[in-house]
Amino acid sequence: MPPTPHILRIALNGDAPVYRQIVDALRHALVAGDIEPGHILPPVRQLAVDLGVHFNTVAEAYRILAAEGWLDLRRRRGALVLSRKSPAHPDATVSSAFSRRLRELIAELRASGMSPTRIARELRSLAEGLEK
Amino acid sequence: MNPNFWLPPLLILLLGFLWFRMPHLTRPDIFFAITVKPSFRKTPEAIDILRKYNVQIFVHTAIAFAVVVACNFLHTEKLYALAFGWQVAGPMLALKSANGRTRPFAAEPSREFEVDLSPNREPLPGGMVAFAIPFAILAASAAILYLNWEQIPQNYPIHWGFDGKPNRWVERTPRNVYGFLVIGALTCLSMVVMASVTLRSRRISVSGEQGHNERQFRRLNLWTLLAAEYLVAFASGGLPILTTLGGSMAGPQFTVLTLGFAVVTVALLIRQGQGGSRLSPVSSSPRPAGDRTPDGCWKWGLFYVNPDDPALFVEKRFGLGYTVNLGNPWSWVLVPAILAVPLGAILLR
Repeated sequence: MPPTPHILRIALNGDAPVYRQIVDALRHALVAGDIEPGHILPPVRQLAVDLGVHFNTVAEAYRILAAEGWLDLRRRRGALVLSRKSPAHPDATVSSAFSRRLRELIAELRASGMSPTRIARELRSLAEGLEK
Repeated sequence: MNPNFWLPPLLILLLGFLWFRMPHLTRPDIFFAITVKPSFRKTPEAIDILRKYNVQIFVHTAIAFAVVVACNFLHTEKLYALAFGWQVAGPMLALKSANGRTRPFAAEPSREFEVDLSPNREPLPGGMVAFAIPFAILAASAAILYLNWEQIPQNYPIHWGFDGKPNRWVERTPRNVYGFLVIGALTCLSMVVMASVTLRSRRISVSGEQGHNERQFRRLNLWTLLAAEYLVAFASGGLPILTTLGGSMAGPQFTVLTLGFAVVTVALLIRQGQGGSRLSPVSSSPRPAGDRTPDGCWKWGLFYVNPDDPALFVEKRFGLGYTVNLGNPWSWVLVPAILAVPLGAILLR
């Protein structure tokens, strides 16, 4: 009986670069605990083959996550997921970057026709999910 | 009746049958190597494309069949290569034509991918030991031939007819006798390489029923490669010993075994369909899942050339099993290396 595969779903259809979409999808799974510390992610080449993207695209995504402290990159053996403790207080640049990105995103959504009420509802729903 | 008489025409008809069935064996959202909506197959346009393709296949099969039958009645095998070549090249042209007619109906595939994050994929069936045993068989054959060198006839058989009897011999020299084994070993090696690459090929579906079916399909391909490796080991190691030293003929039995293997393998692959797609009902999703390869990179619907895709092996779009990505630099090593084996055999002959 083969082991149950550990599955990640990635939608490579946004405007963002592919490596960024891979980073976002993996980080989301890591933050949510879907991928636990000690798990070894597939080697760069295998993930690139499965996604049909260049090796460097996946390698860049892994490097970013390694720089954030999520992964320990091992040559030819995949990437080990680390037990990563969040800092007690984010530094000021992270907080301001977050606020800026959020404002930019809201502006983009409003420009694309989404109502402020709908945006507020989505943000509230996300905030409630975070506090649980 | 002499198998030399009925087997070649039968093979032509079997090939024709496979060409007829092939459009029905691909993934439901791949039609003549073009990504389409799963519902496209039932449209009048698709039915018309399929009908024209079938007519062409019928004509090519009839021509090839006539040539083979004529060869039989004229007691010559000289035009066999032409007939079998026709039965390959003709349907390829029919496919190219159908591929071009389908292209205007191409659909944008989904860009939502599932990836398996497990670091270790399923192992080779039987492990590396099972794949290594044929090399041991060949080594044992070499040892037996060495120990019984004087009993080997001066005319050493290297080719067998459809009836399983030797029909081509070479002089008994170490180069000829052991060279045959070396070619067998290289063929086995190419199968080990193909199995390893198949194991690392792209997963299109990894979850649910479709993921399970795809795993089954890959496993069947790996078992087929393993069985073929044993057949090659027996053909190049066991058969010469049985026909020269063993006394009793093993050739006819080997022909039956090879034919049986081919029929069972093809039947199992047809039952599963490409990527195991025939094992479960067709998806009702309006958007095709595709196979994660762009339509534009498929030449003639058969050859995949995509330098931007790191995959070395991908699922065939027309056919059963896997094919090489000719845009991958490693294919420039792999394909000539695999082709060198039969070319070497021809040179030795």
